[in-house]
Amino acid sequence: MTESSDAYLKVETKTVPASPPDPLLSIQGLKTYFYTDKGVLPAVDDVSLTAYKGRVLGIVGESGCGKSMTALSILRLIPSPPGRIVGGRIMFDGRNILDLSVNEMCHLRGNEISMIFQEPMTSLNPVYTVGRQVMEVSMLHRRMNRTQAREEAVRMFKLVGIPEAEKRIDVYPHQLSGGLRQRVMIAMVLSCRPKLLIADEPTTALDVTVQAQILKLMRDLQREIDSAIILITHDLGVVAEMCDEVLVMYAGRVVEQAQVFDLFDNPRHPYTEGLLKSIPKLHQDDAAPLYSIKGMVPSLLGLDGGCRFHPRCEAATELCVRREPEFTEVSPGHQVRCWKYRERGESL
Amino acid sequence: MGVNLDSTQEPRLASGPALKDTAALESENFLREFSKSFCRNKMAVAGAVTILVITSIAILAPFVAPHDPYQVNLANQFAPPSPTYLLGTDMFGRDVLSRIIYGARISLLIGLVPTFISLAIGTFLGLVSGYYGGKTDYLIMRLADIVLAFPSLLLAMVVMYTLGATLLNIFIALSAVRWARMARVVRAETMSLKEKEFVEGARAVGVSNSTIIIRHIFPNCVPSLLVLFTLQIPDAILSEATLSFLGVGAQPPASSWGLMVSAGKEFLMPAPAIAIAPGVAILIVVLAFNFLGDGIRDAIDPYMKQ
Amino acid sequence: MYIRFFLAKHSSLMSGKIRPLPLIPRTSRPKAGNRMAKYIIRRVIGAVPILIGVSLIIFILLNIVPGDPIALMMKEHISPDVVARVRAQMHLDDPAYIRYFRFLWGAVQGDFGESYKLKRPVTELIFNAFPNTLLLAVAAAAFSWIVGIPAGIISVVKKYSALDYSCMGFSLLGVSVPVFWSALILQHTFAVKLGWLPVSGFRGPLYLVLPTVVLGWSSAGSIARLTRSSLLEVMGQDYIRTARSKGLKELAVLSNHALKNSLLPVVTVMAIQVASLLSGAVITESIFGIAGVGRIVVYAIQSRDMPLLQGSVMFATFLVVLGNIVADILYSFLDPRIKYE
Repeated sequence: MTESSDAYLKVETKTVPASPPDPLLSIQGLKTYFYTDKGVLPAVDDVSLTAYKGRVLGIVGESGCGKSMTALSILRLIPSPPGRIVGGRIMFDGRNILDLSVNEMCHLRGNEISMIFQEPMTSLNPVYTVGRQVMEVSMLHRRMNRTQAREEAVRMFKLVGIPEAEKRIDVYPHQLSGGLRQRVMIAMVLSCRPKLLIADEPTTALDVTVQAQILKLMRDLQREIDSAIILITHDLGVVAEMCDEVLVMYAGRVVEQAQVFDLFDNPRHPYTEGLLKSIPKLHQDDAAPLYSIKGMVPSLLGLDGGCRFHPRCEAATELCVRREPEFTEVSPGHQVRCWKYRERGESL
Repeated sequence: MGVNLDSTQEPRLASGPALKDTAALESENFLREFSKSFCRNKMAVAGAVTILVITSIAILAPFVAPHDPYQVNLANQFAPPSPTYLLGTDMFGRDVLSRIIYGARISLLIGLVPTFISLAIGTFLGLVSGYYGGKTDYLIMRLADIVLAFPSLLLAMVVMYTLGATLLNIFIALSAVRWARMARVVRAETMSLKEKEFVEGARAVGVSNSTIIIRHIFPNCVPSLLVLFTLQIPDAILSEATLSFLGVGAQPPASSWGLMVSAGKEFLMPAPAIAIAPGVAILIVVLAFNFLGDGIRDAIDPYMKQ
Repeated sequence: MYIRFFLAKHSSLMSGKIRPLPLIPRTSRPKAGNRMAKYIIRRVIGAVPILIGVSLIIFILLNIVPGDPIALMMKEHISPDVVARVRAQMHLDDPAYIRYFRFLWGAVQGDFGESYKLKRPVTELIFNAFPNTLLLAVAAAAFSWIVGIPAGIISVVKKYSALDYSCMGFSLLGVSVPVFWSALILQHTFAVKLGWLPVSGFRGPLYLVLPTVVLGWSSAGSIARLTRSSLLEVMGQDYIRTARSKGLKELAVLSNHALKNSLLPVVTVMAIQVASLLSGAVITESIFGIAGVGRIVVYAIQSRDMPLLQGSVMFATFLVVLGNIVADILYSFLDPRIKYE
């Protein structure tokens, strides 16, 4: 049984509603493949998830595990010559996003579903003022004129905590610090009160202190706007602090899915266990070596038919090498993709 | 705050096979990747093949050309194309095709040699300028600015005017004019490479400046130098042709293509081939080098982006 | 323009010595306008050493030619004392550096001496010829932008289509074809054989068509290629992805976000354009019989008219340096990263 990580990680207690509200976004069996000269990369392979209003869903995983591609697939922003969404459904508000026309997609983006990206410096156009880029959204979707949009932009800037909002409207991105730029991104994204906000590693490029501020900002804003948030990160600390529910991805697949407390208290998948064990503890023995998961993330090209984690798994069996496991529910709301739990949802 | 899941671990070497020297492995890999992406670009391959063919023709000119390019035969002026004279004859009765074949020698020579010389000069000055900075850099860059302030053709013309119109002087003229651009590029690369960690590391270990330049910085400049070199060659060929056309380049009876066009321009009515064919030849060679250069650049690009 | 040339050189010479590139300390947070003015002044002052270096090179190259200029100038045989007298009059026996400074001083005041063959002041000849070259160059430059930039954009928007390939083919040809050859071919086809356009001369707008196309074609080609690669690179940037995620239609993404960023590098090409247009003008003017600066250069070389050559090359270089400065200023104006550093 793995150690509990509570002693190290500060976990805020949240009130989780007794019965979950209606799902806002439901992804079923999403497959996004990349067709390159070297072969087909199944970047997102049969991923399913559900996001609820007012709740934060976290997607965790290493670089290249497909979490960003999943997010981009929701907005259909996959770079199309190599990549393509080849299967699955994305149900939003009763409609399948993958069936929508380009115009309907444009109506959805920035308006009902918005996204903020990892690198605020490169994500903002360097030749336009930040104000103009924020105003663009409200002028496009809420049909405001310049004056109204400008007032709205100032209001949003104040809301996200940008000091001297009136002046900052007319500056260029390179004149702001990283934390302020990310706040601008958040202001841009929230102008239209989206129902779903996707945040792709929003704090990875920022200093630790700024990270905490931005996360708090996002929590406060969510409470106000009551949108659903999908938070993508590789930082388990962020997950512990922000998320209600967590998805763990590995090599394009979801390997574990649970409520946040359940995941940290009872990690089931060997990969999740390994991740939690890798966190250095304060009370750890100084002489003991730091634990790390052996091996490397596999290239998506040379996948054999078995479980994708088996080369690195300490509990791998012959079955693991031969066949890829299906999902098993080990407890209510907690699913694992591992042969250890195949039949009765109990450890073997 | 939390823990980083980005795995940057090296594979455990205990059980694996012994790895080759990383540098050798990398350059092998690079060559293979590069040739693969290069060969996928059909136009680039076509360009490379064309250049090979033309170079062979130029080298083997005495065997390939059907006639002596200097053989004057006034009785046979302006003969139309025929099986003996595939492109007809010019105003002195000389076979146009043979003159074009021999002209390839001049063009290729002028394309390659001055470009190489200016590459050498420019690389040296650029490395020194970029690495040492300070006064040396300032002086060299001012000099480059001065040279670049001239329209290149005018400067070449003035140099030819001063030195006289011989083949050697064309080399000098073209090299003198074109080193500056190379120097600029090399300097920019050197300056950015200078700041990289591996240079600091080498310096910390005590490697001398010249060794750093030669063994660390210069090899990293090679990809862009290769592209620059290949793309400057057509420029040189066009410059020589233009200089010869204006009369300050190769002199008669040499069969420089530019000279042929100039001589033939009076006779476009009776024998258009005299002026047109050499131009087509120039066009083909220049296009081939442009395709080649573009192909090299496109194949090198993803590697450089890593 | 003559006055500006005068002022630019004068200020530095009058102060007694030639100043190296001055390092103006950065004051904290001046307004954008002040900063621009300082930048312009810095650039102009920085151009002075370059022009001086240019004059030095020209002087050295053209004045070490062996051969007695007097004998070249005069046609009949003359007695040695006449030769000596004319030499003294033209100060041809003074040491080199004195001749150089005389040349430089004259250049600053716009006096390049008198043409050996045409017996008129060089400056006058150049000023008469310059408007023609200017007209041709401006027309060719405009042609290259009007044709080149849309070609580059189309080839990106309609990537891999026939339109893409033909635009890029046209551009590649423009860059590869020797100007003198295309001039001859076009002249022969459209003027001589088809008679649609006049063969040579410069007596009306129709005379401008062929020379403009010939001269502008290669510029258009390189601008198209540059626009294409710049736009492709911009379209792969993160902020384009952000723009799309905001719900902008693809056309709006292109015109509002991509274009301004991708055209910035194209502006810098304008600086190189001046030089290459002047080079190309030399040939174009010769073939189409336009009495411009390029033609003067060719004539000066063929008739070994040293003052004329000196003056016209000096003038051409000045134009290039001027064009560089203008392009630099324009670029810094357009890129907010430089404007508001």
